[in-house]
Amino acid sequence: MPVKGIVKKGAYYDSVTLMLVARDATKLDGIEDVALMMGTLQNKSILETSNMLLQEFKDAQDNDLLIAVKGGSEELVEKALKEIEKLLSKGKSSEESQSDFVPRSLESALKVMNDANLVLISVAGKYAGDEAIKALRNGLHVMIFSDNVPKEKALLAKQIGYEKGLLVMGPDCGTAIINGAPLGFSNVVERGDIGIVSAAGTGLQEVSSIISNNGGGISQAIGTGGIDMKDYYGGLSFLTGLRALIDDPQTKVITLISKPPSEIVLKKLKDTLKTTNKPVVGCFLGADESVVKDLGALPAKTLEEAALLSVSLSKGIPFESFKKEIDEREITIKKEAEELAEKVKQGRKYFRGLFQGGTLAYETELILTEMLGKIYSNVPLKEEFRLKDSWKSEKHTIVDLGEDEFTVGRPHPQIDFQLRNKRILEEAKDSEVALIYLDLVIGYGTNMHPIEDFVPTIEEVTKNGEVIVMVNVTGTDKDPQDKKAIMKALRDAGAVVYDRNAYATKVAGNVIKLIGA
Amino acid sequence: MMKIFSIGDMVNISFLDWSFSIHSVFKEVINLETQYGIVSFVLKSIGGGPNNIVVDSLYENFDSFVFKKEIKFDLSNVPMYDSTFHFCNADKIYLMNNIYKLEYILINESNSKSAAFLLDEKRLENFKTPLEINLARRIQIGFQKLLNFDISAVKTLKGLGYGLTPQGDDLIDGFIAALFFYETCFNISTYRLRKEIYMLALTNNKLSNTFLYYTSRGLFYERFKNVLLSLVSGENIEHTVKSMLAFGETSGADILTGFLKGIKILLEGGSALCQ
Repeated sequence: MPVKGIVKKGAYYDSVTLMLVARDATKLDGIEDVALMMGTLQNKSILETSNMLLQEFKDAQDNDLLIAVKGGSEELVEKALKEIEKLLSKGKSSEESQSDFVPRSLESALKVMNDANLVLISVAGKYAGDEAIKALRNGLHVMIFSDNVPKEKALLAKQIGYEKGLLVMGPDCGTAIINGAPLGFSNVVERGDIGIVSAAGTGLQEVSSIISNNGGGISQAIGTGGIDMKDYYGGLSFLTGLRALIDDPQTKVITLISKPPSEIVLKKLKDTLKTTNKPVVGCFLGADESVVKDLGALPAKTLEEAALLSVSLSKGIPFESFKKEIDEREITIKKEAEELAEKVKQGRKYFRGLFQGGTLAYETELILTEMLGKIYSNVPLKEEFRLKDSWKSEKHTIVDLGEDEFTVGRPHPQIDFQLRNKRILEEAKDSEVALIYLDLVIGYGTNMHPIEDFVPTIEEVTKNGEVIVMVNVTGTDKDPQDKKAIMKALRDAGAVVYDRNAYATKVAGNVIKLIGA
Repeated sequence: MMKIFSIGDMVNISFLDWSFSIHSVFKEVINLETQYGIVSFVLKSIGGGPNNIVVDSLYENFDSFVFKKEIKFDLSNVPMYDSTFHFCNADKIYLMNNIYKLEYILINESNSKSAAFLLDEKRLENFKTPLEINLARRIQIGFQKLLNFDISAVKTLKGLGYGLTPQGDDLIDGFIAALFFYETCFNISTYRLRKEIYMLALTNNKLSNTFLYYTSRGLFYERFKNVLLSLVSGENIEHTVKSMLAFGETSGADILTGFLKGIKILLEGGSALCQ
């Protein structure tokens, strides 16, 4: 069986990166074994025992990275090595890029692609601001994926963008769809006439996916990063995005998504919205309807409502008939909840939500607080309901596993399910838990193997039929993970599966109410 | 301006006046190579350590500090992190009970690819490819030798496994920590053995050498120190262990496995062997 490999001199990678890359590479077609190890004497000895020690490895030092692949044919092994290099360059924790095949500066990138008009910046935060400013001064739109950008630099970038009419998505912007191209974490959606500006990452993913799943389409989906709505930044990126959608001839309906903006931002939004006749849907999660109405926009209380209302407007259906449909639907939700409530074992009464997506956790918290009252969380709506220990649930609990406290030394929960899987099993052991609620965000950038990495845990929990497991899948049928297959696998594993967070949350809330918690 | 929350008790701040270079850069840690050894700038999420400087942001202004040496730190009011661990007269049975709790959490909560298979052989099922199986076997054999106080096993374990501080190194680190912990609790010297293991374990992996150096001298990083304190006090065991498990992909679990196996042998009477 052929073995090939390479030595990367002085390449520092942490074990997280090496283990994840090795795991993914082992799953490639025709690959039997993969080694990514530092070139210590002991590791070389292991490679020898495994018949994977190549001649070129013999002089490697402790600080050199050895990559070896064993597979069915030379061609498959070569292919896997290339894939590993790609995976490593994606997952590299260190600042320096090792690749010789990509331009090393904005200037050289522009020489390779001189008609580019958008730059995606994902360098260490300290450099990202300067790179963004450089790009903007060259007349290019920017998406800043990086966080920890010095705030003065971030503000300056946003000001330049605002003045020049150039998009500045970010800092810390994880998702966008520009002219049909998905950027960062995003879903493969239908193209259409609905434009979105969002200061909430998974909020944008949820809304754009529901639109696409319900016959609508996206013209542009502009993420801004949550910090943009803070007073310091004054919603400058959000406003620039909104103006772009107002001017965009492909956009007929505009959808705004955010947590409630400050008074200053609201005033600027109102002034900007006066300049358009396009219908605008406003979903400011947790804000009063009157705030949205005052802007001259149509209010949507949830992400799902925002998506469905946008589709209705796009198809020429009036707001009133949409509202009627939403109100009537409450009967269906209650019926579904009644059926589920009957399955709950006596004595079990609590809701436990374990989330990958921050905005989805926030939305569920808002809905359930209204339905059930006190919801404890590591990201509580009120400080008095903060969990004493984020690793331990109390009564009705919602945990956002994407928060820093859970991501120390490990990938984001949208990529690595291990931590949440453990927590799911832990919650299921609690004899007072009635319903475990989970989101599953698919699409580009997220875990590519949810059936292998997530479904077995659900099976484990549901096998004795004591706990209801509810999963909301955010994504579309065109996403690379195969949404239909995932939903089927989850149902087969005993989960109750939805693809709209607000709807699913309401069913869950009603179940808990019916069992009298 | 970079804000400093704490500075490790082993950081010789004179390094700031001398030349130093970057050893390695990660999202939450920047390791500098100085003439006094490795000094690590870390975020709060990593926590204190003998050679750690805990800061609020790693990248803001860092280039001015590292490359241009434009930034001068005022360290006069910065709290010092105390990496030492003191305790005496432990109740053996009470300690053993707490150690069983640690073992339970380790088996149930640690990464499937961690060395916790040394505690529960069923976990060997997680090692599937020939390379992984060989690695696990080598670790099993090497560590069992070390548990029999055959310190030549250090040479077998050192450098074995993934990452910049491989699993074998972490197991050795945990084992040395167990020797020190035992010494502190029961006033039985393990100094000679700790020193010998450290000397045998030295390689040209400076980062790993640094961790072993501090552990061999009874100086601990915050997360690990918290575990040790919870074991003697019986409080917050679950919390401190889970926090340690979140350290690296398998590092926290591997260090704890090395520690657990080591301390159990010592408590069960193996101390006679180590003297």
